[in-house]
Amino acid sequence: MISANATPSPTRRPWVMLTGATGVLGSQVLHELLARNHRVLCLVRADTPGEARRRLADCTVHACGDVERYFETGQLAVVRGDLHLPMLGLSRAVGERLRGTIRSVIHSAGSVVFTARRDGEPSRTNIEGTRAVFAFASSCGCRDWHLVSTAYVCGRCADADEVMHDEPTAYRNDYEYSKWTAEHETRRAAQSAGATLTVYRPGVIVGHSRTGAASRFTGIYYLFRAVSLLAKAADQHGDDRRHIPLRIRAAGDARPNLSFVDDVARELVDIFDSPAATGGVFHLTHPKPPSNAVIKRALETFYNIGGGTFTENARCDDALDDSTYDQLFTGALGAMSDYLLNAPRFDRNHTDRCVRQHPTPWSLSRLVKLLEFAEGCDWRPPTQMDPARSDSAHLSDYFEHFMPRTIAQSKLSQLRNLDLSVRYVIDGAQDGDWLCQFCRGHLQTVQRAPTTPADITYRLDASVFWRLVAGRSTTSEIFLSGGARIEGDVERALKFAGIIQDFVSEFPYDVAQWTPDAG
Amino acid sequence: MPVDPVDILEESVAIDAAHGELAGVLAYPLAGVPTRAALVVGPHPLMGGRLENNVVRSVARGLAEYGLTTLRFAFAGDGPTSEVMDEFWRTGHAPDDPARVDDARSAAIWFAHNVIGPTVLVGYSFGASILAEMIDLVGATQLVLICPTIAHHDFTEVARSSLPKLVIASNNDFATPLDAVETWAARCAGDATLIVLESAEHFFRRQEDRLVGEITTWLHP
Repeated sequence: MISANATPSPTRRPWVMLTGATGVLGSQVLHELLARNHRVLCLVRADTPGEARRRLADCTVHACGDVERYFETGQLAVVRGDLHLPMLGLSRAVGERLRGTIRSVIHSAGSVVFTARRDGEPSRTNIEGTRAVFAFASSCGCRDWHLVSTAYVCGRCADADEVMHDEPTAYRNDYEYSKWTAEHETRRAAQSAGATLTVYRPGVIVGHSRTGAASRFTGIYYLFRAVSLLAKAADQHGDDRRHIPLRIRAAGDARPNLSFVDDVARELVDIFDSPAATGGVFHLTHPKPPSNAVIKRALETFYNIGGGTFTENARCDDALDDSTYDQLFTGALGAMSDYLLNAPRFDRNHTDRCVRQHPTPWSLSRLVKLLEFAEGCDWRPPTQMDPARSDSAHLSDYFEHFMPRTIAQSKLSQLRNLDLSVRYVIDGAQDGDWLCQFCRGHLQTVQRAPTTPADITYRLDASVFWRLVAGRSTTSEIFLSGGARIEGDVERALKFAGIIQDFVSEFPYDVAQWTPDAG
Repeated sequence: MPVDPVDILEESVAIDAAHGELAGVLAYPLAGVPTRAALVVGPHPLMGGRLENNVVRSVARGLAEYGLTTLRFAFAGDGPTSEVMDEFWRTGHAPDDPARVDDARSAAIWFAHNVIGPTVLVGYSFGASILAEMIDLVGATQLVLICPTIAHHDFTEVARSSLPKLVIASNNDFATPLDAVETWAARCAGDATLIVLESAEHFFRRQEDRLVGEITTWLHP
């Protein structure tokens, strides 16, 4: 009996429990873990199991794609919990059930609030939440603990080694203090529990190395956003030279440690998978991050601006002389400005011994890619990135060339009873209105912007249409999720949707050939 | 039975069947001991009857969240032949429909061997029409019929069953007029409770949670 009492099979692999899977880094770590066939149990804050699944799916789609397949194979599961509640808010029954089933805990959740707030952040999450996570791990019998911290627990210093630091003489902010405290508290707790603690210290995490995609625009993105706003302000003032006389309080040769999120996640899981690494401290930093001067050049290139100068030694009382631009820039930058002034060098000898591949090298074009992505989505992180964009030329190619050619070779052409006119209205696409007339299974005519009525009409967004014809989504998924609407004879429309599904499986239209980010 | 939904686990299972292996997903509560079970049978494979069908997935998961062990499965087959598609296009019935009934029977046999507890059979659309084939195989105690396709398929044997039935219909279902469902439900042997969801069409898009709620309320009054 497999499930008389719904008891998990004893042969099933134990869980890797992951917190923060809906976050910037956590979603990429989840992707790496699933890709390497780990079985992952995510702790997600939600009121219902369905909401927890949806939230995880939405927040990880950019990194993992559709996670449904992982749920349905039992490689991924969600348990609702909250770092701020005793025993993570899990019921006694859930705690009992998980006892002995969790091999490792990766605690990636954290608060990136820099300055202490009335609600207790960042200490509430970074110290108390961390304490709760590992107390739960201990109660479940898990003795393999992994903590995601920050490279900046070293505080203000010139060089940082991969060791547990004594308390720094000065922190930049409350965030660093909370992370340093969490590291040390967790180390003591691990010693008491007989567990091993592995500590991961990323630098400043930015978007994906290849696409520039980011799921949130915090940290260094405050700088990017500030420059974006200044460029717009310059436009409004009619300054067509876009010369912005800005004093940037930073050293041109200082290197804030920017790391691509996919590199950090890959290195983290490399180390996680390396038995020799257990119990170590690892800097997941970039060995050669871009200097402030290079970042400035990328911003100037992308926004077509100039006029900024580094003023490393400017004193606070100089603020009285700040221009409007200076004040706007400094205000937008907030606590991030400190990371531009003082950038330690991070040793990564431990990390280099464990990882399979070095981080992606920085270049001007990769910086620009980050900006392109942020501006492309108007600084609103998309929950789901469309793999393809419509274009009238491609619609024309699909309907006027691809379909007639391939349908003639397909099973569809053998449907002798198929007499039907089908209209596709593709929202968001120029020239997105097409009529296909089938006669005895043959595609007899194709008409752009039809004037004659159709037996059935499908209305769908361009992105949905391209996913469909590429075979990335099924017709039933699209229709039943509300991604397409049907007008006319619903029964025939559903039957035809099944026929089209068979056709696109047989003859997918490869949008990857013409969309730079696809695939 | 829990009042609040609970976290669940899912696992994929492979079910031997005469016409090929069926892919299934078993879902059950993370904690607690299920005392009941449900087997969910989906729509016709040529009409969206897949594991990811919104109704099939939501009902199977939803019932698991309310404490049942559930199984949903995909019918066998590598895709229809042009003859099958042509016949289905013309008549609404595929020549290999009997093989799909065999698939459902195989799933029921697997379920009976692997899951203990009083079993609810849940059929949606075409799936509702073949529940009668499975009642004895799983020792079913209750039937749930979601948008039964009364106008297209033979529901005589289902109607004859004396098991308690919940029939969920929509007032704008393209597949079967509501009055036909009402008439059929009134003639069923045993208790038949009819619930009509407004404007749910045949597909219950964005009404999945409500659908699950109606079923769980009926199961746990």
